[in-house]
Amino acid sequence: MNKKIAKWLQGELPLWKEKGWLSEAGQTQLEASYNMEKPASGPSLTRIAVLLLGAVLIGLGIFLLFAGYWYSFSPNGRFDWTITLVVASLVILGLAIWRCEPGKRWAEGATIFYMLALGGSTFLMADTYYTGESYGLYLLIVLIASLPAIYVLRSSLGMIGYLLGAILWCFAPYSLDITLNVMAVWLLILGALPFYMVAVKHSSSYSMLVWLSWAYVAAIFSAFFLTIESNRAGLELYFVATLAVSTYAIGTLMRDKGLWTLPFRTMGSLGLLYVVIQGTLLHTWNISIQDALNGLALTMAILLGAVCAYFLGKLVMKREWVAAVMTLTPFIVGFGLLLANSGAMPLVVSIVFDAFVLLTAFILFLRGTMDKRVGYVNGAILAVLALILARFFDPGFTFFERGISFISIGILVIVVNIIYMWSKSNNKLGKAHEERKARRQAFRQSLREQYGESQNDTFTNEKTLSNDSDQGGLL
Amino acid sequence: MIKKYWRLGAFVFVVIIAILSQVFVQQRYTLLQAGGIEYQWPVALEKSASWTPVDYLDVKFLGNAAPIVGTRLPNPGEPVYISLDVKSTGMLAVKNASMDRPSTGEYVIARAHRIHNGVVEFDIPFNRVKVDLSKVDKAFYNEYKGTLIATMKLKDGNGVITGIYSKGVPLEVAKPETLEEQAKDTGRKLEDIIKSGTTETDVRVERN
Repeated sequence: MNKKIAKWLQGELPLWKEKGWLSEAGQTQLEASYNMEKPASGPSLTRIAVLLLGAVLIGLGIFLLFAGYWYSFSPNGRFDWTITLVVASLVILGLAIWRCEPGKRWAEGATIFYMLALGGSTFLMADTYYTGESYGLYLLIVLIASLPAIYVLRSSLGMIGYLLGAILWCFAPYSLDITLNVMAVWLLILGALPFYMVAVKHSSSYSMLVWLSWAYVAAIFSAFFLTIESNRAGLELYFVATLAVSTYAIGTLMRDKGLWTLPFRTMGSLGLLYVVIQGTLLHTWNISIQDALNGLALTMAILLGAVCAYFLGKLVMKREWVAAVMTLTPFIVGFGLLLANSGAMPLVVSIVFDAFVLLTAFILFLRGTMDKRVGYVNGAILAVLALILARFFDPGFTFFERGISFISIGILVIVVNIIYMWSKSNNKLGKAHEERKARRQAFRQSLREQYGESQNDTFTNEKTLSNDSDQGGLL
Repeated sequence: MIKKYWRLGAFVFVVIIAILSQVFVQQRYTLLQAGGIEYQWPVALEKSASWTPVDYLDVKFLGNAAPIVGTRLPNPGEPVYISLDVKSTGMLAVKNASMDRPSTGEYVIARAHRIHNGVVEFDIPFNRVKVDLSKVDKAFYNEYKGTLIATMKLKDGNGVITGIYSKGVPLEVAKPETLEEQAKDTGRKLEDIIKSGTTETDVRVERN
């Protein structure tokens, strides 16, 4: 039907139905017959995209106007503008708290707008009234002022932003005393914990929960790195190893809870790769812990060791053997540190550590091939690659030593592979021989069944002939 | 009902914190300007690349290294206390650096930059001076070798720069030195500038 007529008909049908000329069923049948689509209730996607483009252009225009004239305003004028922005965002936030259902799109939008407005205005104020403070201080203020809003509106996006802010805090120049800096980040992460726990139990959006998990685990890792970087107790590698295996163990033990545990396993694996690289480098073991070791670090080391032992026990009980072997990493690192501290050569400690890594990689590879788990096989390959790369770039060895050892290992790998291929090819020939033999026997059997036992002589002659030909083939 | 009050309480908290945070940043600066003691420090100027028109120049403090006292060494980026010697001219000279807040005398909270052989190189954080850039000769911040003097207000280790001068003349109206004068200025010892309290050439002492 002509589109124009169809459109006219579509407009007429409701009128006809109203006048009683047409029943409900008749209208539906006519619409289906002429393939008439019911008009959508909202604007089309194209219209929304065009509207958004307009809004973005207006936003950029306003931004450029302010950027061009911002410094020509007096400091008090700038203060007024920033306060206006903050108040506007607070009004929107208040409306969202009053009217919107927590966790829904509008609530998310209002929280994000408030966080961005407060963050932007605080940094503009810091730029206007410049005292050279680290941006970390302003970030801390924004995060503290955002947390209640995030909880009230149950904004997952807001919480992800908050956790990203906590990560940024870990890399900001120190703005407080070094101990306070570390304490602040742990308090920030602790502040996000109830939200995360509720999200794990009652989250309506699964993908949002996975993103939240990524942000939360990344924040914990960043805080951990900041803590050990600030402490400098000589146990950095041990601490990283404990964190990595604990995170990996949590992800493994709770694997059946869902995909949100994936970030735990991934971040744990990345942490372990870092440990492999650092543990392979010679200078890691060229240390004296006693000078730097303090009571707090020692207590933390024992506590974290106990946590790892707990996870090890859980993994063994659950028969997660591969993860259990990986959980031994901090104990091997601890043993290495003790060895190094008692005067063992760094090379010896490094070799002990590498032996453990190779053993773990072998187990990973074996289980990966047996259980057809690509993740394990990839893990094994990555671990060995990390080890090789660390050794390749290790400045602890001379170029001559590294060159010779790489050439030797390369030759060894090729020779082993050639032997393996030769043996496999022999096996293949042997197998082919066995298959031919089996085929012949099956053929004879079928002939026997067909012609009966009287033909026995013929089969015997054929057997002799075929044996001769096989021997000739092998030779 | 409790839920409703909790939400209201949280919103009120957010409003207070959000407004106070802006006022805190403003007051921190204003109180330093109003209540700080004024000193001087020899500096050089830079203009960091910016795609927006700005109203400030970056200040590089000269003589930003000090021997560390005490057993604890700072991490790079960590705050460090720089003890200062106040000369009769109002100039500040660096005495030493420490991880502990000095109990007496003037000091500034700087950020450790590099530590080498018991000497810490530090960055003073309040390194901006507000100027009308349309009136300042560009030569002052384009590889200028002459020494300038910054006036600053200090209070409890924090501070702000209040002005910048070339031979006692505010930068907006000052004329840059000739290349020859700049070369002579570069050869002059920092201690002499601090001691004399001026960058005038008539009090120059040649380097030994």
